[in-house]
Amino acid sequence: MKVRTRKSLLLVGVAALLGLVTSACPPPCDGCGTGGGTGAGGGLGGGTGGGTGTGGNLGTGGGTTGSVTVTGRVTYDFVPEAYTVGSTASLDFGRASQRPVRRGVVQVLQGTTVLAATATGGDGSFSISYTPSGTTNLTLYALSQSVEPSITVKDNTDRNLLWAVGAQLSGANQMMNLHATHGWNGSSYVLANRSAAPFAILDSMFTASRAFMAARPNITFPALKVNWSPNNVPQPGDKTMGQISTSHFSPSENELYILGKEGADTDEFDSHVIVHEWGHFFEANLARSDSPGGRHGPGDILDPRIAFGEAWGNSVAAMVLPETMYIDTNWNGANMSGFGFDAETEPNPTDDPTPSGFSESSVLRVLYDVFDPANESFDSVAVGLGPIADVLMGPQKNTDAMTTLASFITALKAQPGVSATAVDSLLAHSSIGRITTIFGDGDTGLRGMYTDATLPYAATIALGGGNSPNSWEQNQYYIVNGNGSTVSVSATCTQDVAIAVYRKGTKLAAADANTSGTESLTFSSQAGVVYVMVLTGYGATPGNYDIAVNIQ
Amino acid sequence: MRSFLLALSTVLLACTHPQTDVKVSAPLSGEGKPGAPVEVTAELTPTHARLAVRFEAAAEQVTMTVSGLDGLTVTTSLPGSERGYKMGELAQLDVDYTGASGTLVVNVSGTFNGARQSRVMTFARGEVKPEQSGTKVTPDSGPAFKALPSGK
Repeated sequence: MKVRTRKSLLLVGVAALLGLVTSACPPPCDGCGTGGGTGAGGGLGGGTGGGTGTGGNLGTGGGTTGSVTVTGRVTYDFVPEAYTVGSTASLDFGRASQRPVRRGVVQVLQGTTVLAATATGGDGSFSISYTPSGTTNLTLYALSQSVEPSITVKDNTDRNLLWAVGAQLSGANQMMNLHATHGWNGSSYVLANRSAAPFAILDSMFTASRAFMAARPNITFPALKVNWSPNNVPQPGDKTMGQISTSHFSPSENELYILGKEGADTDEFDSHVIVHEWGHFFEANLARSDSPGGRHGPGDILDPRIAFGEAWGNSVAAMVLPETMYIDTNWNGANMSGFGFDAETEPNPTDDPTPSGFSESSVLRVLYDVFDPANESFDSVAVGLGPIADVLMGPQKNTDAMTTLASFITALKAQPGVSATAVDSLLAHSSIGRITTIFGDGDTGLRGMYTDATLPYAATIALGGGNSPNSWEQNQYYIVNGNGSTVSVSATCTQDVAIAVYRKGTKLAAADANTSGTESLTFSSQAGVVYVMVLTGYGATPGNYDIAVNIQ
Repeated sequence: MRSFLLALSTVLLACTHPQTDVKVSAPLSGEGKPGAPVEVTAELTPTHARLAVRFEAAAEQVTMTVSGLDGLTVTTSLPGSERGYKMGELAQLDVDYTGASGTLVVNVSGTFNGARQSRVMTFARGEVKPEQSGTKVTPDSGPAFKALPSGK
């Protein structure tokens, strides 16, 4: 166990793409009309992307001057999961249903010429008018691309191409539906028919985005690119070969990657997995996450930054889908398998044996109870999505502390209409103290993550070797108040450690050059400004190991 | 610096067959989905894999399965019984397979810290080319895409 110098810690606790189309349907509007448009049909002006790019102005989509009109609906197969609590999980193809592709881009092409483009309505329906010329084949396509917000799902193993389903048109007025199929033949996928996957991912992303747009209409999401391929395997390496490690959000690329390899792990219908990763996209673009990333799971005693970030991902999925049971299916040999956990209800026996602000399970259930109706004896908080978004995009984004449950709860309690006493009741249910500050005062464990490093500071701390670098055991934060001078930081150890200094989550300096010895850095401080130095251990030998920390 | 993984890889490289390919289920640099706290190192020869499964947390009722894809067929049957592992414990699995190239799939499932979890990892043997479907369409404006036929 990590030993503090001061005390031991006891864990008690295509807006741009289709401008006129999108303007016909102000958000939130999942059930709005069918797009189309009143402008001149088939405007094709000035694409900026070309090739495999994402730009391009496809014009207004159909129009009153078009001589031929196609109406129809775009749908995809959604496959639900079957899960036995505490046991296993699988995809239930027998209960597959057709769902609409909402606000998805639809195009009419003659050869390679785009004659018209529009977007589906909230029910997947569309009406598109075009003027054919010549005898070249006419084709109707639905792309794995949405408008309001702009989300694309592309194949990272095939030239970053969008996915699409298409069917030939007659050239006369007609009704034509497009449908993306799951491609499962009862024992395996038929690759050529596996077209539902990108549309299922698109729809999960759309659901999450629209939930926030409904709660806070001023939210504007940046364009989101999701990478999915049936070649995406849980293996590190070349992403263009499908080696994506796992389904994840890549902060450096600001993109998502989703697994798709049959016989190993597929996530396209695991909607909680999809929205979990979308939650990281939300954090990175509209809020803030100081999470160090890395492998994690229920029951782990984590660095509270990743505990919060991962709990956020799980809780936002439960909030917006809305469904409290997180299920992740995979393959176990020839059979489907998987696991799950409930955002609302703790199972018996518990899946959270060490409840605290370091447990993603505890933080998950606190966050979900903050959101959901007051439906338990200890839960009289029911703020909904809006205040949660306000906290994440406001005070949590700008906190002087690291982004943990402490910074979130402190800001939540300051929101209009939120009862601090009621929030404390939720915290107590997960053995978390009455948090009163962004640094965790009120909860022994969370406050213990921070050491007040009054300059000059020198002390030795013991971290817990053999634990993951993103665990509670291997991390300690130091609060440094700037004095207007250059501050020097060093950490000396016989094992591998790293240090980094942050200001409101922005990394100002870092040192991680050696596998033993001294790591050191300097940074220019401003008087009266709060900095946080994070010490992370990579010690692999089980047991405590000492690190001498100097800050001056 | 991930000294443990480097050290483990070095040890394995120093004492294995010249044709052995050592691969590690490396830690994730981004934000990934929840999964069982295990890491796997695989030594792959043309016909055999030695897998070292490291448990980063104590686990109970653990099952491990190994299977092949993309032309690789696993010919070894692993014991189906469940057992527990201590934190830091290494489990070694030896499996034989046939096929010039393909993907080895390892699934580790169990109860970790009280929670049922699993993790799937793959290891490529030889060159595994991505499978492709659909027809590329490059419109005169806007992004290119790959089209599959609409279903009913």
